[in-house]
Amino acid sequence: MSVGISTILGISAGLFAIGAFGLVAKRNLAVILMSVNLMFAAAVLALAAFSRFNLVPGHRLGGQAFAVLVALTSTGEVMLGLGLVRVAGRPRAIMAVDDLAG
Amino acid sequence: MVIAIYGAGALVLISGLGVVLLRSLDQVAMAFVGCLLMVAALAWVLGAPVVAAVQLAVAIVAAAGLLVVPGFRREAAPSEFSGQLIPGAIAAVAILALMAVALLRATWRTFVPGTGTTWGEYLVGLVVAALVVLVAAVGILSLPQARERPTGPIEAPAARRKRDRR
Repeated sequence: MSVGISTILGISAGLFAIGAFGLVAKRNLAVILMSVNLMFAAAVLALAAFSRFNLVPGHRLGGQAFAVLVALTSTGEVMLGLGLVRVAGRPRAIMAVDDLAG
Repeated sequence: MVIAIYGAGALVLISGLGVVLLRSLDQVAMAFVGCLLMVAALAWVLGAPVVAAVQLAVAIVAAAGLLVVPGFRREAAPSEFSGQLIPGAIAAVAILALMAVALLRATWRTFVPGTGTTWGEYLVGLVVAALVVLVAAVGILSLPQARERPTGPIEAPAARRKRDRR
């Protein structure tokens, strides 16, 4: 019994869909940023799988290199969220995105 | 190996569901960090130790940030659903359906590994990205932390001075 790429990509697709659901359906800014990070993690997983199963033409480490870049981008997104909360000065208000409008 | 992949995959999905379904922010933060750790474990099992290490670092940064942000756990509003619950569910189901169709119809073609066998070929791009993240981290630490502002309408400085004089 072996694990094919479809299994890994299925897990990745599930994680991406969960992140998309959280992005649209949640009210709390921190949870929205976490949901975006889940979508980044899904992309990392898919790229690692592409690299593992040699689906990147001519580049054995190409998928992994892209995965590292995506992971670094998600770190930048975490920094963005922390910076927003830090400068806002109103942790309770900024955590609810509906309150930002009024 | 197979059990590890299926187990880690199940834990990834369960903890991901915990992030969007749990109400307490403490539990949400724990589920989020657990999900990132399981993604790192999956990357390790898939033979990508560098990706696993970077993902582990992301999880550590996220965990530290969630614990360090002042007032996050004490004052934050609970994790509630907005009025977009049904559109969110529709979007998630649509994405899953699209991915399922793509996965079922795809014919995977493997390539013979050619160039790109060492990390040195990607070093410049990765170092630049890491420097950008480092600058962002230093920027956040050097930001002046704003004081808690009272909620209510924003007042122009001139109007505030006039009110203070009265």
